[in-house]
Amino acid sequence: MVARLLLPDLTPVAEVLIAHQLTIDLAETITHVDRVILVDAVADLPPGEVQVYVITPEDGALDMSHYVTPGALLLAAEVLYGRSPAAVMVGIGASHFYGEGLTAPVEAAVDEAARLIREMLSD
Amino acid sequence: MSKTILIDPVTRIEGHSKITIQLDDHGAVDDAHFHVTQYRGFEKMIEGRPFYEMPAIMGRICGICTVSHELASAQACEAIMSIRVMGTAANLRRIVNLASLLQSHALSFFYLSSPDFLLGMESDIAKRSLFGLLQSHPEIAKDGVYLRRIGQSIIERIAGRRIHPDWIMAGGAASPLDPAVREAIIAELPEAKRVIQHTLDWFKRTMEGYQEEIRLFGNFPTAYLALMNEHEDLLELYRGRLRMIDTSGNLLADFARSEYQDHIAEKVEPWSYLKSPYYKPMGYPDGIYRVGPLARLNIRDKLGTPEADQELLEFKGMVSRGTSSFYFHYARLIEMLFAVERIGILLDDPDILSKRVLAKADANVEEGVGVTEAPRGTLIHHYKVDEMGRLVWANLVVSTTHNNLAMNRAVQQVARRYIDGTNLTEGMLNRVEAVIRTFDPCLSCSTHAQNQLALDVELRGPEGELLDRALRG
Repeated sequence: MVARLLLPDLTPVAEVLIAHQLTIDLAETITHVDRVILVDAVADLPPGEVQVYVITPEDGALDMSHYVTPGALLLAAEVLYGRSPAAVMVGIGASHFYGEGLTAPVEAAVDEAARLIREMLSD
Repeated sequence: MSKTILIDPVTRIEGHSKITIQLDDHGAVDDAHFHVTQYRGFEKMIEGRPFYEMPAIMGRICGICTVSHELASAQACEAIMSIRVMGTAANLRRIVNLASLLQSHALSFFYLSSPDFLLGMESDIAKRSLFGLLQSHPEIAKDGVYLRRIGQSIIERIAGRRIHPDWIMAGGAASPLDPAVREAIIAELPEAKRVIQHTLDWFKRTMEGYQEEIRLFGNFPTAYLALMNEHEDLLELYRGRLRMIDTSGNLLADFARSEYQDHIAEKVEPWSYLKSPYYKPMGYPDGIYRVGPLARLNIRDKLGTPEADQELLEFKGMVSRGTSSFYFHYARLIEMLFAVERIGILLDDPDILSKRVLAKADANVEEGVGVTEAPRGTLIHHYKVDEMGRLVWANLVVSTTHNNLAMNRAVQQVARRYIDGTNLTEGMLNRVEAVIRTFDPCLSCSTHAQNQLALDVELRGPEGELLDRALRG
């Protein structure tokens, strides 16, 4: 949702990828950029709260086959390609994961998350 | 005193399972079972939903073979609509399906199984992992990343998203192919082909060091089942008739997808959520058969693309009609080569840019069956609807399910060779798991565990008492 909102005005300055989950093949993709901003729901934040996390390379869910954690993706990029970009994650506290669409507190936080990302990119 | 060894969970596969090995009074393996311990319930949860929602819902079953489920589902819906998707839409679907096979096989070969080949069955469990592979063999790991990225990017460019695209619809496809996308994909194919060929050359040399595993990894006679193209002699993954052959290649049955229940029955065993299909005329469990890359290569003499056909010739020369499940790995690489070649051929057809890719219709009959070849094998979706087109019943026979009997027999074979009940080693336990990995089972996409989860091995006496236990991870 945040990525879709950002897509029209960020296309010239940033590539927006809509990914259901992070997968190992993105390790090569992220080596072509200086900075990666991940956007995701966070289960252990209060619903609608927006928080920015700094991501560093770490051996997390690199043992998972369907997805990798953000830290593991950076680690894979560093080990395989010799570099990993600076990375942050903009997390939005989720209410629950059932049903279609976003809950009211999360929907209200989407604009705030998009504003934060625009701010980061204008630095 | 008989004992049981429990391997729980089985690692580097898609989903949750465990293996129990029953020992006899002398500590020798008496029996072994591969248990699938998770339950998904998609067949029940879709009841009452309109049929045209099925491709999007069923695609959520898996994050790896999304496309396969969407295609089988769409075909079942199209049978209910009494239409058949032809021409451009069918060929675009074929391309996306081949790209899905490419990324799935790359994941299975490079990340789930190659740590066994490259780091050794007896190597330290802490190093025999994906991270260990990245550190010790970065060039091979990069090839895996590259091939998976190519497959995923083709899906994304054509279908809009890498995972769970909503482009495949009952009646065709949501959008036609952009000419610029066509050119971009064509430009990437030669390098993809080179990387696969390079990997094939390496793997053929590597297999020389795994003769014992080839001899013992699920090496027994079974029947084979796969889709066949109705008009051309080529590897068909999208739609067609089903063919069952025996272990010597003799035809057992050739049937339409709607007739699958005349030939295949499903047995439910109390120790697993995974059903055990078998070829009806041979009964249970003698009707054991295999599906997937090995079955698809064994069932035909031609794939239909030049380089893959050359490799098939070599495969047949090397393994005759391969009965060892170890050859699944080899067959996967040949299929990847075929996928890249075939995508190129399909994209070369000028009609691939036609804008006519979606037909519309309501439910016209009350039942439909869709069959496609997922990366892991034949995938069947069978739906029944009410007069309003709402689902009232569904039956899915997924690729891994077809292989259940064979996986169990493979575990028994390997356990009998490597487990003596008195001296358990990592290498022994890993071989028991590795034989399961040859089938690349996909038990769900909810959770996927590899080495970091605990491997729990329990020795139990005849009364169920815990005699010994080993944990790793």
